[in-house]
Amino acid sequence: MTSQAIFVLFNGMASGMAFFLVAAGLTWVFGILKILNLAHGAFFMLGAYISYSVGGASPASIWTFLGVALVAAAAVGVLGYLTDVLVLRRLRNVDYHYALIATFGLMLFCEGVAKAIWGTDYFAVMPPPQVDRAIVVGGAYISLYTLFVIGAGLALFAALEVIMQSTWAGKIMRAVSNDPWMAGTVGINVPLVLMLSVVASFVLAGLAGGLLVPNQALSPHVGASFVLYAFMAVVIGGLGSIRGTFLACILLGIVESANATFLSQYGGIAIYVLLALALVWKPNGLFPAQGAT
Amino acid sequence: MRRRAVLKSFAGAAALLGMNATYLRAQSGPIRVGAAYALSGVGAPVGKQMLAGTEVAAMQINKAGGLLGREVELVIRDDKYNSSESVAVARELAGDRINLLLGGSQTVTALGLAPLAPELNMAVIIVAAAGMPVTHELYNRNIFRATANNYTQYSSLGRTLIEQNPEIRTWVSLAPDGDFGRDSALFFGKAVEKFAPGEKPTVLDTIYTQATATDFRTQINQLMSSEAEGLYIGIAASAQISFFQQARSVGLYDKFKAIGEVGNGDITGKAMGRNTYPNLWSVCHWIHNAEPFASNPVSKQLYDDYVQLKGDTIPSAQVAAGHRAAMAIFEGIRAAGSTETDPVIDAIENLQFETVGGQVSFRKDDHQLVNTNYYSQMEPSREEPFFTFSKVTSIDAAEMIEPAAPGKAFNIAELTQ
Repeated sequence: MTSQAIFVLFNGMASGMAFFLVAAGLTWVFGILKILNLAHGAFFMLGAYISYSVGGASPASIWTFLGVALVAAAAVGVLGYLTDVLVLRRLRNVDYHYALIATFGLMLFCEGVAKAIWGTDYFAVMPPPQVDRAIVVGGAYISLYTLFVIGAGLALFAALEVIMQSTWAGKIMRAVSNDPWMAGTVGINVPLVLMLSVVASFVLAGLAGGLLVPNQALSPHVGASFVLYAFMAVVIGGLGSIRGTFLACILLGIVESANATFLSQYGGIAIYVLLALALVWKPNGLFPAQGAT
Repeated sequence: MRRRAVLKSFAGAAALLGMNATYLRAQSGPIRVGAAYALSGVGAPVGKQMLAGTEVAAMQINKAGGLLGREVELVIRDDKYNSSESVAVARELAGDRINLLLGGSQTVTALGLAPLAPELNMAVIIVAAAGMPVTHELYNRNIFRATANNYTQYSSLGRTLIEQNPEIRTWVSLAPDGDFGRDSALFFGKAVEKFAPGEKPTVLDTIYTQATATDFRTQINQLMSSEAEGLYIGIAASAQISFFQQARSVGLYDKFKAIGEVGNGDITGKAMGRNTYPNLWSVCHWIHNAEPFASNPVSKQLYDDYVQLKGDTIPSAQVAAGHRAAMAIFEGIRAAGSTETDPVIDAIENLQFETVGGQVSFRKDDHQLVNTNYYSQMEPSREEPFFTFSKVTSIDAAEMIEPAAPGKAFNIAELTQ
């Protein structure tokens, strides 16, 4: 029982941090632009493919692996800039339904592009050698790559918290998020801030793709499972709230891990129960962001 | 009187020309055969390879002068790995006067197609669906299953694994929580017990997961903590590859002495490459450069024509499944001397034809393919594509197949052990 509890905790944290790596960009862009980007998973997928193309199936070291993930993040950031210019900028002053439809179309477009470039065969990327083994903790087998993902998620959360709460850039973004008109009147270049926010969101999607690619088989549908959990986390945590999303990801991860361990015959059901309870108890999320509805 | 006769002749000729214009057109144009495969969604990597095999078969037939003096034309549709879509596609093709169909590349699509075939008056070749209901409770004379069924396939796999690894005394299965997963794990485990030399081995309770799961850490931890040294994996496609990615890192490759898998075969090999599990046994449809396939003339021709058509020198085993199914319908047309549904069905019932794995036929009672089933051992390699097939074994389906019971659900408990 103790080893199961230890395993549930570790596994839950690992899943939660994997969800957070994907959800961070999603909640960021919603917080600033109030756009729910349905194509976020597709750009995560492109980040994973770019990592595979640049770094191959067996990264030489953890530094190579991290470097390749940063390249993927930068490449998806460039795609984010293009997406902002060609699509998202046109959606800022229209009803949100149009944004949903447009980003859904964008998702299909990205999947089509991935199929055209990489085909429909599956690929598998291995973790870098330094984290490509397991340790046994209290009878539970814990992969070092799992610990790496937990570390990456915690580091990303810390970095986003520092940026948003303690830097001028973060304060400017919060100001634009809360009241873009007022931010404009005090001299903030609102279009530039919005564009940079979109790029940052896409960078986070690409980074998540690069870091999580050893976690599962690479195919044009690789983003689907992660992004589903990411959406749930954003809803439970509060649309646009990084702190809320972070906590919701941990909650989802642990609940899912406990479900798989103790109630495996009802696989996957517990997180939907959690989602339903959260919507009833806190319909605006654990930490509703200012301006979020 | 003469004038009446002339008028009648004109009327008769006009009626013949008018009423039978479509018939005459159909008899003189190409023979149109429907080909419904999963070409998008999660089934696409498998469906596209099967379609490639079917395309090669059509190319070979046309190169040899066609059938009944006419060219063969494939009318290709995407069933999207979806039961309702497979039904919609079949209805659309029937509306387009197509009565010969290749479909059911997976059980999920076959279950939709099978009951529909008589209503649409179609002869349907179920390409690769192994689910038992197709030739049991859903049986009808319009459908033929051109692959081994679950019982034959996975009991033969279990027999192969225990015969090749008799020193393994404890086995366990990881299977998707559904009819297919439960059945295949059950058949595998029963065969391991039945064919083990000496003392009966222990088969542990099956560990279940979801067919499309992406995180297997919980199940891997259960496997690592178990006493088992032999494993059957009933999850397929990308889920199986994700499982191997996650399992390898925690040392599962060292713990288990042999693993049998559901039939991903080279799909897993291509993805895992150098990281392929070193004693991985698969259900095998075809390996062009390994015996007995390498010396089979049908296999050689399929490989050459596949390379010519697709420009790819490493064909998937699934290509052979699409080729075998297409040859069943083409040889059926040839034997019938007709493209009409009933004569083609009658002809296929009595057909024997050559495939990459030798001669096959359909059991007349339930239209189940009777063939030789092959099982391959995979391991990593230093050369491209960084995995290799080190051994191929075979079991004649006649030794393992269940008695025909069309219209009746299969129950393993009713078989004599």
